[in-house]
Amino acid sequence: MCEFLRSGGVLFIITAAAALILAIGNAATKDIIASLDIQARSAAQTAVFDGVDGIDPASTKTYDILSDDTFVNGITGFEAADGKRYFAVEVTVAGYGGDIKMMVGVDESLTVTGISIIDKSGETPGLGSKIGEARFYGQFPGKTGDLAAVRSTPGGNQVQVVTGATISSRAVISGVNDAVLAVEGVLDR
Amino acid sequence: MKCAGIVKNGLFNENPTFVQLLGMCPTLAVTTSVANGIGMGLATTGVLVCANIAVSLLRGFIPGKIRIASYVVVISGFATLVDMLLKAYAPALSKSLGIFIPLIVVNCIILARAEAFASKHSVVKSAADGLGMGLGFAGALTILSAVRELIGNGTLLGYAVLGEGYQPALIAILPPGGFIILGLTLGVINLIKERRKASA
Repeated sequence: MCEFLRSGGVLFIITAAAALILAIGNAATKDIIASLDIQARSAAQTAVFDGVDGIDPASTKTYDILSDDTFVNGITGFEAADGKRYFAVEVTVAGYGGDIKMMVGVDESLTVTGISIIDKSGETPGLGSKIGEARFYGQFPGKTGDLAAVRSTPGGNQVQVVTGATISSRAVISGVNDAVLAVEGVLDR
Repeated sequence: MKCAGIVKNGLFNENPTFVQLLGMCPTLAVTTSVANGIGMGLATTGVLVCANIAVSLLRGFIPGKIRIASYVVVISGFATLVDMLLKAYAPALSKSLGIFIPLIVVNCIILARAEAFASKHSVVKSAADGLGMGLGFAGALTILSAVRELIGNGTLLGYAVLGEGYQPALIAILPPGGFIILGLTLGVINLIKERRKASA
């Protein structure tokens, strides 16, 4: 009985000390991590409108997502100097080993202006993680929805998948398709 | 044994990856690029040194029956701390290593060193052992990832080394290639060792 209590007590002290150290570590890093997340999001919003001039960053408007059957989890509208509307669509799709978070820029004629992968940590390093390289995501600007995945040289409505990472590539493509559909829904309102 | 000898032991004679064949899961999983290999190696070294020091300090205090449970708490504490620090100060590396940073907790090298070395030796020696074993692991990951990145992607640390004409052999980055290259590397190391023994 005495040994039982002693063992439990020692384990309790070690666990409590570990919890205390982790609490301190968490308090020291959580603000930095949160601000990095915000930075990543606003950098992604800027990145997806790379080729567009005169976007007013203050002209934001958030739209509700009406459909349940979509990967989209946020739509922010922007207005450019010439009065055209642009949309930054936040999408979360299931990748190979976890969720892929990305931002898709769509203009009011439903053309993709750019995409930016925010989180691809679940994808295999060196394979699926290549969806974050310009060679892959650079294929999207100028295309519109209903994109199909191909292995060979892509045509007008096609996107070439990353070799050895078909699942990750298809996930991104279906996310972009959903983003365009969601913007279409917003424009219909 | 002196501290320098302990470090050298971890680096070469008892290299955790190439001689003890411990921690094969992260070894095969993250060695797809040199940056990942070095990052994972150093993160593991950090956890290993800290865990060894803590276990050595606590070695008189922890009753034998609950020692493994205590080691796991200590190790997971440090691994979580490293995870948070990487997220805050090296977000790109943290994202590319993904799940394998939290999984340092179950890296058997760390538990093995806590049980086999740190629980029986002084703090300084345990720290030296952690450093040697950690750097031995990091070095092994660097060698493997350099071979795999070079063959599988034609690059080293992201810089194109083999030129435009090289058609990457993708299998080197894929899991089967990981096993094949690990096996071949082990073979080369054993060959070198036998040559040395024969000439000595």
